[in-house]
Amino acid sequence: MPESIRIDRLCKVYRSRDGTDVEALRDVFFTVKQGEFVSIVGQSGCGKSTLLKILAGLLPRTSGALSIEGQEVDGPRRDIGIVFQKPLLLEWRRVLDNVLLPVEIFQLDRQEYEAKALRLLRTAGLGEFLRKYPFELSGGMQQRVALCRALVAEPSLLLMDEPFGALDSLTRQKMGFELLRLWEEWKSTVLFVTHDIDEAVMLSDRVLVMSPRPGKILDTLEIDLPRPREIFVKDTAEFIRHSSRIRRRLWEEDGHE
Amino acid sequence: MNEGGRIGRVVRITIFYTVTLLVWEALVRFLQVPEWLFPAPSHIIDVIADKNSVMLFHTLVTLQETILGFALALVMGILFAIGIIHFSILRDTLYPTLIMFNSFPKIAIAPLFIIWIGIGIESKIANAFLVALFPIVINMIMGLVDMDPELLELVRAMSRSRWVLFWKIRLPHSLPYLFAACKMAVSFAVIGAIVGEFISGRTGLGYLVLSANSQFNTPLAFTALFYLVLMSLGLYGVVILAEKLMLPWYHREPAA
Repeated sequence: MPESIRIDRLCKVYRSRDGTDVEALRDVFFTVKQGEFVSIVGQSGCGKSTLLKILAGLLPRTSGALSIEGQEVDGPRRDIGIVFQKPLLLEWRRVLDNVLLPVEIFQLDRQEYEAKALRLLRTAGLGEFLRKYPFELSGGMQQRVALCRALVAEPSLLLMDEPFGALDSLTRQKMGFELLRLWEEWKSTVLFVTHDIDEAVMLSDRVLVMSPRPGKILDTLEIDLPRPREIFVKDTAEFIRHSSRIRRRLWEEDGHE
Repeated sequence: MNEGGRIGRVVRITIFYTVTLLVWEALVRFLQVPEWLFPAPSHIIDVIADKNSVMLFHTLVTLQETILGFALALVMGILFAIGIIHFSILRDTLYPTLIMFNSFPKIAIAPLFIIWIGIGIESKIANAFLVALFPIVINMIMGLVDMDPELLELVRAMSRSRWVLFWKIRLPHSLPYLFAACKMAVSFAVIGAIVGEFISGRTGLGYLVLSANSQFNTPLAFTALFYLVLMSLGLYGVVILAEKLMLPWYHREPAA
């Protein structure tokens, strides 16, 4: 299968406020296949958000090579959708118009994409909230709108930075399965950043374990659990084996034996 | 608030003002306070009824000065703010000048306007403009830049166009800030117009208060103040109404 992301010896050093150089990423390399769901797990400050921002063209890299869909990353592009931890909806736009923001920015055909937006919103269970303003929605609903917005222009790559981090654990679990449903339908590549080990194993085809200072990839796990995934997969020995291995890697890295 | 609570509030407010007026009336009569010192409400009401058309004329003069000064401040304030956030030359020249001016009693310039643009309505408009301008510029700048940095990143990942960022994000984001400023600025504009009339007016409510004062015609001064209150409240109400109509999406966190 062709590659979606190729990262080769990526390094990022930035100057902190007190003038010292901080090494945020060191020799990060991995590839992601088209249509693959890959998670990056690590504690806060391990550079996973920095990595995502470099991929989104928001931060320059210090050295190394980076390409998406075979093209060098060098600024904004249409084939990426982004979801952050906060929904970041435009509070003056109704739900449908929020979802259509990328369509307007990319100057795509509104009619054609409005149909897509409606389909997405219905799939996400928001069919009855099209005319609502963000303040009228719950946190989980707002995040679903943000997800629809990220998907509406049919990106080949979806970048997600702890997208469910602000939600309670039950809503979070539910949102994970909804994401999987949308992903199975829309077939984009997903790079999903989280600090929740179970969430990463539950959702992904592959999990990359990252350690901080400087950020580097410690371990890669193929998650060969059957799809479509169900909640009870959490109770299987397979699942527990994967998550406990990740837990152990992070624990050891933290200086424990 | 539920319907019962709202009715209860209206009742309480009505009772409060009725009682205040009655106590005022009773005190003035009982203590035999002379009318030039502090007139009774009944007396003021008589003057209000009697001088209706004169008062209306002066009110319209002040209203016109206020609205023109405020409108000018609104247009210039928005343009200044947009210019300042987009051009570093303006950020380094116009912005510090505005900040400097803002920390200074602008009303002190009012006499100079008479020298520069005469004693007509223009100098009052200039006054109203000057005091209304600052809250609008300062708040508008805040509204255009004070947003979640991640929202800017989200948009920057899609487009680097400043045009897109301005029209789709910055401008709509600034509207609640602009309306907050307008609520202040419209009251400031009234002050500006009144002070202008104090200095060189032949018409307007400010002039009327001053000339009634010089004749010890306190009931007339009170009447002018009554119209001034009505006018200011009316202007404020228009701003609130415009905000409600234009920002149905704006939702303040309910006060704790």
